[in-house]
Amino acid sequence: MNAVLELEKVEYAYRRNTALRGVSLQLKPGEVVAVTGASGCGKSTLLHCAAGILTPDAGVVQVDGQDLAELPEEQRAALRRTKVGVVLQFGQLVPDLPLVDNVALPLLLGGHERGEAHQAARRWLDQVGIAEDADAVPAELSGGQTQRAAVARALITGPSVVLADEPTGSLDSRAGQELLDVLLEAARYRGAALLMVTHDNLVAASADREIRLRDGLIQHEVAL
Amino acid sequence: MTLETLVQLARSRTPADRSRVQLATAALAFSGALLLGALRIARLGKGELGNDIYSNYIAESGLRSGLIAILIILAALTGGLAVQALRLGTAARERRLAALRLAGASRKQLRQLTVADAAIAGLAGGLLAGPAYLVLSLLFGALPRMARILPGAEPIDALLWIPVVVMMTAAGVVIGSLLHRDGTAAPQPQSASQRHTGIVAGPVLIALGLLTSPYMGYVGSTIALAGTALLFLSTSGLWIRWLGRRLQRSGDPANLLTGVRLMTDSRPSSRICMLLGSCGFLVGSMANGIASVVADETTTSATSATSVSFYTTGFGLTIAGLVLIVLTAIAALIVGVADQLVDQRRQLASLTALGVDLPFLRRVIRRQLTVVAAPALAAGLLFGTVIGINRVSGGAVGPFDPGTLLLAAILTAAGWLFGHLGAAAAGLLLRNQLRDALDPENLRAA
Repeated sequence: MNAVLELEKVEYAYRRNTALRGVSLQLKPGEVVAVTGASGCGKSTLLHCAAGILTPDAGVVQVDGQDLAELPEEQRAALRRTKVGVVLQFGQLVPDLPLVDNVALPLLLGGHERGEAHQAARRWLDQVGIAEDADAVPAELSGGQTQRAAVARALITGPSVVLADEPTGSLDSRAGQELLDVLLEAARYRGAALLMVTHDNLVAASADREIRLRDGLIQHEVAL
Repeated sequence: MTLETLVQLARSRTPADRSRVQLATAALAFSGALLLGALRIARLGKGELGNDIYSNYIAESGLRSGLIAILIILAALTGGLAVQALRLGTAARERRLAALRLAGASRKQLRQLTVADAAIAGLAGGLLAGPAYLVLSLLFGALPRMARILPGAEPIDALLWIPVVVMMTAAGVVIGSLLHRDGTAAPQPQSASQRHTGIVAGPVLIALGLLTSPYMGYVGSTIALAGTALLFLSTSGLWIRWLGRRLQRSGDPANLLTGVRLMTDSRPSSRICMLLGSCGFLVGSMANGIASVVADETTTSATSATSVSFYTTGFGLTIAGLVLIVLTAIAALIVGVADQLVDQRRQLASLTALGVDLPFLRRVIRRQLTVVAAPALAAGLLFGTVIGINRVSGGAVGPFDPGTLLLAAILTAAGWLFGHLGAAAAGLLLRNQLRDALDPENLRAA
């Protein structure tokens, strides 16, 4: 099976600090991979490079066989919108938009009609268990509810890859486990590869494979 | 992205953002009304008109073109205020744009959203320009003949309204494009070298202008005026940051918090400080001009009553326009503070746990507004009165003439008082936002 996400010798530096020093990894459809490591080891940078949010200084990032660096900005954004879903620890929802609009955003930005996009968004909100909060704005909801909305938004376009940066980091253990179940079920059901950055051993244990980073390099890789 | 989505996402929803757009719309509506006035006067055609109906500014063909130019300049100045208003709340909007980018928006789509936001304000401003002109022409029509500089509208003037709506929408598009430069809505901060150049060049130009104006007349005076504007532009940011640092070292908790708020984002305060300083400077200059004309009239018999009313009307109307700009600038400052309150609501809510209550926060906000507005207005008025129009018009009264100094002292005190009154009124206007900002519920807000 071909890899849906492939990073090859990716390097990235923030001015004086080198965050990634030639990291390579591959994710196959339906595979769940956890990236762990101490703070500042480059986990989030790796995820942001994979999402096309950051452009690596060196190396190649391919999503569904397409090299992100070779695509013009407009096409890269479209690829990110349709093939990649992103869930962060917090702050990823547009604060003044109701949940239904937030979840529908990737479709709306892709040119879908409002009614059609809203219909899909409401279906996904139902699937993640917060259908009754569709018209609330993020500030009116708990951390767990907004994270569920973020998961719904990440999955609405049927992406090949879901990237999650500490998705349960801002939640208590019960809400965290519930969100993780939703994320894993949704990703596996859709056949999407899931790359999760986490500090939490329990979250990492739910993956098929764990990659441990240290000082911008892969320290070890274990099949779980 | 469909047009419906574009409008939907560009439309502002938070109260602070709505205030920002309303202020920009009001500024553009006023700007459009002034343009309509210019077009209305231009429609009167060439040649002399009867000065029994019209003001001399309209009746005399030479002055008429000057009046049209002044109205266009005032329209541009008011349009500048719309730019200032749309720049407010940068941090919150940057976060919103980042969230949209994360949802898959391309840079082009983000630019479209910023442009659409400003274009909607421009379109609304253009549509409101017609009624605004009607109101203004009615108000001016009730003034003495010399002050009737905006003729009443006729049905055919509705045709002039259409190009004004188009122009205001286009102005919105241009403002939005400028604000989105480099992929963000953030204004470009002044570089250190630009600032240093202004700080050195400003006083040099003022000194050069003052020294040469007795010999070079208008040229020297213009150099002095340009130097003053440059000095205000270069020092306002430094002044605000210096003030913020000084207040942060204070033992008084209200001063300390004021300093922190000024230092968190000094850019909006700096811009408004510069704007108020410049307006104060021009008002001071005009007031000095009126005083000179009145002094001439009392000391010489050569000046007729008509020419006194002619000059005082010109200066008075300009002052009225400038005071309007000052008021709008203070309103922009208030919106900026309200925006900052929304932006920092989590931090402010956490202060509730430390015992900070509503009256304390009101004191902080009042102080923040006062330290920005009062010194800027007072300094502008002082400099304007001392080195302003009397120099431009040939310097009949010297800058250190006792009368000039007395006028400068009165206007400086008035500017200081106006700054304090504006801050007190702002504290009152912002009471709901302050209460909301202190709500412990905000601690949950992401």
